[in-house]
Amino acid sequence: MTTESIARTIRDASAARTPLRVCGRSTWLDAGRPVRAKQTLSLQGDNGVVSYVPGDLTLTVRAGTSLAEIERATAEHDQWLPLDPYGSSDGTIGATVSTASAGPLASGFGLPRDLVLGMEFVSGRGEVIRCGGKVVKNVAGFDLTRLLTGSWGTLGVITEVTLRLYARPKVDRTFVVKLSGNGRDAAFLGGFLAARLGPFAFEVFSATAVRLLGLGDRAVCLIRFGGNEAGVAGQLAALTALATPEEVDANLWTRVRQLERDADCVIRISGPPSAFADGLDDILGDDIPSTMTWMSPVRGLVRLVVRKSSGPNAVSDVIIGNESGGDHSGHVICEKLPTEVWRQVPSAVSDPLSQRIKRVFDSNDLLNPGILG
Amino acid sequence: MTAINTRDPLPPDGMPGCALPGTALAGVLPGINACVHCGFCLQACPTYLNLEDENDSPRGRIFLMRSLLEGTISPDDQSVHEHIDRCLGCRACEPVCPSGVPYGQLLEATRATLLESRRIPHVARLILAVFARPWALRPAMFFSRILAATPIPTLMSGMRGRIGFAMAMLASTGRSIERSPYRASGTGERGTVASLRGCVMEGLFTQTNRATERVLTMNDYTVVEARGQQCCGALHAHAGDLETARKLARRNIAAFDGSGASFVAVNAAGCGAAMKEYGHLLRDDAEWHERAESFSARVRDVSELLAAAGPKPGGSMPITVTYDAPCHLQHAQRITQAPYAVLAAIPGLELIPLHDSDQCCGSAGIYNLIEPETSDAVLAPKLANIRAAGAPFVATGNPGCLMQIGAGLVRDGIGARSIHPVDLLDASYAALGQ
Amino acid sequence: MQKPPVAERLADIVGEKHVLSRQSELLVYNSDGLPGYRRQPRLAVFPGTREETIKVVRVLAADGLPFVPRGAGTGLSGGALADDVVLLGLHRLKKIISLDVANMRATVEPGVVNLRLNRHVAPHGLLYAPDPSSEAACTIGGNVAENAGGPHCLKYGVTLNHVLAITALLPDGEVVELGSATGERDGYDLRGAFIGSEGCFGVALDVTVKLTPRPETVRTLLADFMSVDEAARVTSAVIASGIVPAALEFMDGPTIRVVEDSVYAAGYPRDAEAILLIELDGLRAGVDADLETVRAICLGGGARAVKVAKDDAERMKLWQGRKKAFGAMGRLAPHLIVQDAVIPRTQLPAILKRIHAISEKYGVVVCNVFHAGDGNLHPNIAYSADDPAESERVHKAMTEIMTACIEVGGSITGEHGVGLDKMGYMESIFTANSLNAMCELRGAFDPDRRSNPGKVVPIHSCREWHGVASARAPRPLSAEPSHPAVA
Repeated sequence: MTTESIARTIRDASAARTPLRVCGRSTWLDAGRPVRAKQTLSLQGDNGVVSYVPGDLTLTVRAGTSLAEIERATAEHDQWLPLDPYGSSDGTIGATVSTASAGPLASGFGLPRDLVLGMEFVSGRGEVIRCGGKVVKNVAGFDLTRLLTGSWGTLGVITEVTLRLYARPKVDRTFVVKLSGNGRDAAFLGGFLAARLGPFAFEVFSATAVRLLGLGDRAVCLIRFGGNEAGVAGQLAALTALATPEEVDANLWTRVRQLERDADCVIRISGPPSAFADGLDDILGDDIPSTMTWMSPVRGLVRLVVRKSSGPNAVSDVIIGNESGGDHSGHVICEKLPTEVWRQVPSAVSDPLSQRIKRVFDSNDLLNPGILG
Repeated sequence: MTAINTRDPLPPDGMPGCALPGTALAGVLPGINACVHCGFCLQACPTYLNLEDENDSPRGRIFLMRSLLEGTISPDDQSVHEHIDRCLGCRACEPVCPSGVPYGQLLEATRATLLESRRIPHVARLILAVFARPWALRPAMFFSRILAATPIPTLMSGMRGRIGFAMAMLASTGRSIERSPYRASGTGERGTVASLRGCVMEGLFTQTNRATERVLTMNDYTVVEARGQQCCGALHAHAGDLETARKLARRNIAAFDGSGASFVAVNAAGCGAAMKEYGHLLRDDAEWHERAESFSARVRDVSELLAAAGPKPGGSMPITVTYDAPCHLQHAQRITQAPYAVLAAIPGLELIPLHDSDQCCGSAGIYNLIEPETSDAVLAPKLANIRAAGAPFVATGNPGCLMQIGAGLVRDGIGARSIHPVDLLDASYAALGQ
Repeated sequence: MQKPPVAERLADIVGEKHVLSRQSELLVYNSDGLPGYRRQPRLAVFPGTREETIKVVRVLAADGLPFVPRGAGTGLSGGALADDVVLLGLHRLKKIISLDVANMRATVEPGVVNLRLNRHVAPHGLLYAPDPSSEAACTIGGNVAENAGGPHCLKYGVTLNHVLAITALLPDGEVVELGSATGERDGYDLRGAFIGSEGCFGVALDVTVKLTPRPETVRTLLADFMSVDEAARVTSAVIASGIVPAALEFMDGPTIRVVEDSVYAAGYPRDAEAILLIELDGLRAGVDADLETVRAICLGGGARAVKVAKDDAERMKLWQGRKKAFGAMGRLAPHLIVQDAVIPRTQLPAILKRIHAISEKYGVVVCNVFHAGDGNLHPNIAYSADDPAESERVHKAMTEIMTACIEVGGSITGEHGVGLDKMGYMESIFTANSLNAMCELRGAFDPDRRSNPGKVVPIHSCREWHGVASARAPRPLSAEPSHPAVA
């Protein structure tokens, strides 16, 4: 499959006014609002490395390339793309960038918007557009790359992406710190953040999640340190001064990414990190069976996952409970919800400016109609 | 790679189609050309920070100068005069300029050139005329000194406007530090020094001049007198009256050369800066240029001479002091550490850091009398910082700053007085004998 | 009844002394940091508060008047030039609105100077990471407009990576929130689109930035080389080693010597043909180990000596020399051309050879001082614009250098922006479709294209405007010098 054939498909669909459901490997189709489209445009077959010069630490791939393929290609040169969205590595880079999905490593390496250097996409009019570039620093022209990242395919179909890579750390270790649940946890959290150790990842899990991970039945912190040997030893020493860490296998992170496999409700609640530190006991104490909570204190993010067994009412309760939740000044971002609940959630792109932008790139509402409301 | 040759400076009037050939401004074109318009000077400029218009910034004024030469602005355009007049001449832009633009020289040349199309304002003309004439200066200062000794300035310092502020300035000169007489002695082996008495210093800060002679003696300098010396001409040069400035410079060079002293000691930063630039001032004077260069090379701020000698520690003096750096010391002469060395020689003295000590106080020669509004705007944060520092003494080594800050302190009723560092050291030496 | 002239209505909002309409007072606003370009504004207005800014923009919108936003005027692409339109100076909006130490963020007005923000947050052990060389003068609003970088962006990222939210005033007077100051949000990344829009999407009324903890340890290393090629190869080797230095800067011989002649003399070896300034930061233990690795790479790659700054004072001195190098070029010749190309980092040795060959071919001296770690070149040529033959050689040489950078897959600007200066190169790196898409995106923010007209994307690339543009017969692009002289 080529960009030109994708562009042709879109032009044909445009001529016929046939809305398209854009997808990669279709592993994350349950995310986002229901899409009003019958025809599917899959980029699954459009995969592979376009160019990779390890010395430049940049990689250009077709959008249908899976994260696992990228992992393999870069590992040969001791490099990696530090992007670990929830789900599995079978997902494509196109889908990851389109949905701006990120996982625990975002605490250390940033979001997709920080890792994408340039892209090629096809607009709703079937025009091939290239933006950004293949170099690590670039301010030429208006930033369509950021605009497309996280636009859920509603502005264009991403066909190719250039990414910033990092060298794999010499040492990469993961530690678990069991929380006491007796009110001292906030102090540990504050102390750890204040120590500014720069972890690759730092997540705090509620008891329900911990049980699924097989780490006991009390809330825990998972901390990932990477770098040279001396550096990680220094980080560990500083952590040991604050708590009693136990080392665990790094494969644990793969299990973390799969925690929400059979969830039918995933929402993120963002806010200033201090608000979560203050409410830590409440957040972790909210130990409802079948509802997992974990947070990324560095990002100021709580992830709430309701598993399928719990039925639709639990989902509604969680959403409504969080929207009326006191003085919380952040945002609720819904990833997966049962169809009937989506209707209660206001769209994030209903403002006039977003609507004008949508009209520029996809005036006929051809691409993933309805996915963002 | 090809070796780089620093280009020869453009010949005077080297600009194609120069609108003002033969003027002082055309003569400094190479300095104007050195400006690459990077803007690094903006945040260093007190008038830009207060007035928030680039016409009142170094980069903007240089652009105005260039425009005058290009002929895109006429020299009798009122706004150019306004913006050039408003420059404090503090030269805070010079030490931050990567390209080394000699801003002070450009300013003087511009003022000299503009002077031809307009007269200096009345107040300024009167002051400058008095300063250039010893026969007028002495009685004027005598009258001021008498006045300063009476309660009149303090009473009138509450008045609004220029008179009120002038009176506050006078009132501030009457306030120094108590000290008992002592006999200064030293080996004299550091060489001979003739000190500039100066017009304002000798007129209003007579005791600082005497203190200067005593502390130099205490630090093993031999103090000699330079007869026939006059006002240094800095105020005239800043105002653009370069002819008078040159006249005064020649007389001073002759007077100090006649004294045979190895160093010329100056306790007024503004005067020191001007005298260190006599070489530039007289660059086109075939007869005097070389003499001026060698004279300038011998000029030292008093703090430099003292720091070179230690200075010797004095007697204990438990006082709290904060230090304000005069622009013409730190920017024009690039002297920042020596005054601290002088204060450090006083046992018991506690130094409180002054926030934004390096910012101009708005005195700038006679600026506070001719541009009172801007001067006041620049002074306000300085006074606030002094109030916050809470020290009863503000040490600063320039008469303009001593009076400007002193006047502000009197007017705003802040319980602190401005004082020359040399007076503090002198008091400390006086305390030795007790 | 007729409306009073716009200058009067603006003066009613901001006060008379903050509206300039006399030609002689507008002259100094003819240029930004690249004075080879001069454009005379018709009027300049400097609002002092957010409310005044909104009112001013609404008056301009009501009259359909185009305007050009300007911060400190330190930009190097001619981006803040107003050609017979209104200049909207935002430098008076200089309040730091709030500082949230616990959450490491600050909200500031657009006129706050980058270095002042850094001084403000330093006592709390924090810093604002993007550090353009003009940090002592440039404003945060300008940084947002240009998506400014700086030496330390190698590790910490550019402005884009450090701005959480922007309250933007669209050219029609509408106020919109882009991004979020309180946490991540969904929807289109409008903040990302606005950053780097060079004033074409409107103006920022406030900007919420992310602050970064001061690293525990900072080590700055100065390696000097007798050959440019060796220094270039060492740069590539350090990047390839996987160590991410906080900064990795390159200065060649002519630059070293001009800096050493200035007030910012840093003690660089005057006889070296190239130096690398490499900074490592983080936790002490890790930094020390990386320092040894980098030192070994330098020495193994031909460095004559490697010196590590012994204290903060020495470190600052090494940095001041680097940061003021551009300004110091004024010492060489009255005019200067500055470029800002970016190349893939493995191409560095080849490109520097190419630049050398081009400089010999045209008999010009190129001073190279740049962010080597990012592959962000700044070739500068000092010359006299009064000599037409020299000017022509210089401009030809620069065009050839830019073409060489584009050929190896580079970009025409890494941090200075396109502005007026690099518009002529836009078509050599973007297709007609891409340029048109940029045009149309701009249209979503500014349908009448009144904010900073005539910048970034050549007007003839905008399909919608094609007919209109040709009817108006604008000055053809070729009339612009492709490289201006910086006087």
